[in-house]
Amino acid sequence: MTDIGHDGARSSVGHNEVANRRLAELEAGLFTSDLSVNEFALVKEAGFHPLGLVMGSSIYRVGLQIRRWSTSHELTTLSKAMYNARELAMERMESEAIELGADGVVGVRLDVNYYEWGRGSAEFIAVGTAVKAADGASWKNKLGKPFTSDLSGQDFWTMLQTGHVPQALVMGNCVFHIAHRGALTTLRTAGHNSELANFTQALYEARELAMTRMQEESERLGAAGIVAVRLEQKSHQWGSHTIEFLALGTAVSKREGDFELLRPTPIVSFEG
Amino acid sequence: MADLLPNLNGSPRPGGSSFSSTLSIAGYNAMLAAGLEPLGIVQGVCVMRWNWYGARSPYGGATPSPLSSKRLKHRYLEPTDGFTRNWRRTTSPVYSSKTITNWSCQHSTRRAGAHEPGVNFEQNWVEDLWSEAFAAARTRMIDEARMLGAHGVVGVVDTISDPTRGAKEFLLRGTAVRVNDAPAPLEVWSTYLAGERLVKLVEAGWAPVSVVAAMSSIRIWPACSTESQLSGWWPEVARIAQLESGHYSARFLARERVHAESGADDVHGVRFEVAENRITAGDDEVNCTVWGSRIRRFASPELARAPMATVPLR
Amino acid sequence: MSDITSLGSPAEAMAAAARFLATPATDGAPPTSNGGASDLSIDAVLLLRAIGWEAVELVTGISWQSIPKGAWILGKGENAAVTSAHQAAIETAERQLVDQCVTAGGHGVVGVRLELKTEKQHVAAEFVGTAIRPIGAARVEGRPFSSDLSARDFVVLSRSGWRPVGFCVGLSFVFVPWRRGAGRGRRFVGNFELDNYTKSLYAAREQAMERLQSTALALGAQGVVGTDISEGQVSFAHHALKFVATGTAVALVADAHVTRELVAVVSLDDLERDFEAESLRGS
Repeated sequence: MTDIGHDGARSSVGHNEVANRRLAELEAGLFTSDLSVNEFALVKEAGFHPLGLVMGSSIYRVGLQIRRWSTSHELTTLSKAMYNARELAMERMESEAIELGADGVVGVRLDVNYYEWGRGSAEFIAVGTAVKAADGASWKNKLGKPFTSDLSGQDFWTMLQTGHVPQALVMGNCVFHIAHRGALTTLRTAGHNSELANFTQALYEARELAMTRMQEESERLGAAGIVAVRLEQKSHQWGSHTIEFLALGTAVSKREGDFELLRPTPIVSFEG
Repeated sequence: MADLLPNLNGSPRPGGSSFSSTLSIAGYNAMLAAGLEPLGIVQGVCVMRWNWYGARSPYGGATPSPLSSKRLKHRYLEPTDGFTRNWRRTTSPVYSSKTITNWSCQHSTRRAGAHEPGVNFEQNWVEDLWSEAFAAARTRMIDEARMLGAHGVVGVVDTISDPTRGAKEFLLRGTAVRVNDAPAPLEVWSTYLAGERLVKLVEAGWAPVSVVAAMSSIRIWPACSTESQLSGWWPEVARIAQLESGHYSARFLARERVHAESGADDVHGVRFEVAENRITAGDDEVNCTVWGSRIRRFASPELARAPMATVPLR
Repeated sequence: MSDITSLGSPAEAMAAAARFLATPATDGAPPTSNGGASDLSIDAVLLLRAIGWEAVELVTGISWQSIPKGAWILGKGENAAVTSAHQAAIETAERQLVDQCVTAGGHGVVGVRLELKTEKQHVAAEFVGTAIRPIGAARVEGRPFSSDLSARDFVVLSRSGWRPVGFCVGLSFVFVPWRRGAGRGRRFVGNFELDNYTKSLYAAREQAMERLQSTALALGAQGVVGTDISEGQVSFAHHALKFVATGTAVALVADAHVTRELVAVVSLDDLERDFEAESLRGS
């Protein structure tokens, strides 16, 4: 996220000894995956083998501090914090994947957990299945790291058939405070159905910021485009005035060589 | 039976030239394709008195005491692991390899402590009552179907509810059907399946026979050691053998009853439910109910074609 | 008993069934069915049949273990008593499930569902599944497998050259770390990572996964599929966290994974017809 500055500090949490033990078992040959059986078969079909479940997490303080209640604006500190928290979780997951010698991570799932004892803090988790190409070729992305994507096994297979390869899961976020109109203004216009200009403007701006930042990440990777974009909005634990907009997608680029596009067979199923 | 179904008396329901059915559109279509003609909705009901078991069991006013009564046929599920029935009071328990050798039994302080502590037993009277009610409801539904000239009843839905305190209603409802160009069966059959699922079953070589269901009811009177385990006074992590045995048996016996009724026939689409019932402190009950469609093979199995693997593009 | 290939259309099959049910059984004739029970749908039954397997019996297992008093009082790191109670409950219940499978003549159990009920002074683990075997096979040599794969997944996996080895569970119960004294009463200064919390939860999650892996390795498996890792607070003890990882351990039957010709299809079902404007707005 170039426009609001990059938080240079990185936490000192690295692999702990349990994680190292677990990864060692995986390196010795056992594989684990949270792919369903269908996805497992498709990932194998695509020429990859699962290596192991990789995970990363970070618990971040994400307390709310609003100074200007009456104007709608971005809460840049919070945007940065939410982004960093996810980045940390993803990075730790990636480092586990690198440890395993993976070419990429598929089926990445990003979750946020809130706990009773941790008011004002949240746990960000990234979990995925690290995979390695059976043909031994390197599938690492333009930054030399294993690719990451939240594509399911089916979508992964399909995308490879179209001659594209995932680069990385890209995300852009924006935490926005939305100023509600004052009580008097509300009373004056009570009974009229009219556009709530404040809201429209704020939501538009917030979403644009989130999407732009996601696109910028993709451009930095030199990707051809982003697929399977998902737009989420969450209030987490802040109440209705403050919303985080998150845009997530998988940046992809074209593979070398010619690919014959799939010709699907139309079917009608008899499921009731 | 005739007094319960006054309007049927051998003649079809009013408006008998049109049929009614509980089938869905797809289900109706599948039935027609398989040569099954729906005749009408049929139902069977049975309402049983269903009181607390204990003071007001159907066998009399007193709490049944399995150790004293010889009339009741019940199965003892003896607690294992050396439960003691020692009533001596001491200040602290003495353990000897997971067995308490001296302990003041908590039952001596309970109001419901008239019973012998530390026993699980099968409440046959509850189980028999349930079977009786289900069978009665099923028979009445089948009788209605037979009066319509049906060969079988499909898509049976059964509901067990409490219309009022102290009573339980067993209701079985389904669509009576006739198989075109086929002889009447020896017994009117019934099944929980309907539509495409029933047709596939028959195409796979099974014929429906009847809906079956059974319930098992185990009464658990915890031993003092079970209670001490449950209240956390047992010093270490240990199996609560009495509860394990009671719960295990409840699930197992219900299935055994269903198999006893079905004989050598298979039971398809089994559903089971477990409900725990606390009658009072120190007096628990585990009830397990099993339902399924009894089916019989009529054609030798052929290895079906291997399915084609597809990837859907949405 | 007629051969199924001669049954023809659904109507002909139904008429054949009707004729069968209209004919009195000849005395002394052997029963035509197995006397088993299953909770599989007819589709699952047919899929199993396609690879030459059949359902045998519904099997269950249940175990109760006591938890001593004081086990939930806030401590440091892992809650050993509670973890071992859960592990014992799961092991015992799974053994009963597989024992029932052996009695029924099954070669393995599919569709295993595990329900774990954690209460203050006890834990109950319950397993339910369907025992299956190759059609008409004799008793299995060795111990039957258990797996949380559905019958359908079992078929897909078998056709790819894999077999399930056992259902694996890895658990870890931990205490949330003590709050550092310096943190309390300090004015909120900003958003940052909580190192010690991250470390504890990270370690606990890894511990649960590592135990899952050890179980799989002990069974001689080559991998674990369908891994699910869930975490949550214990309802009556908010400072206690529960991490449970489950999955089915698998091993190759043949030398290598078997790939099959895949057909890409586009469904013309109306299921996806509605335009999902929701997806633009976000969730």
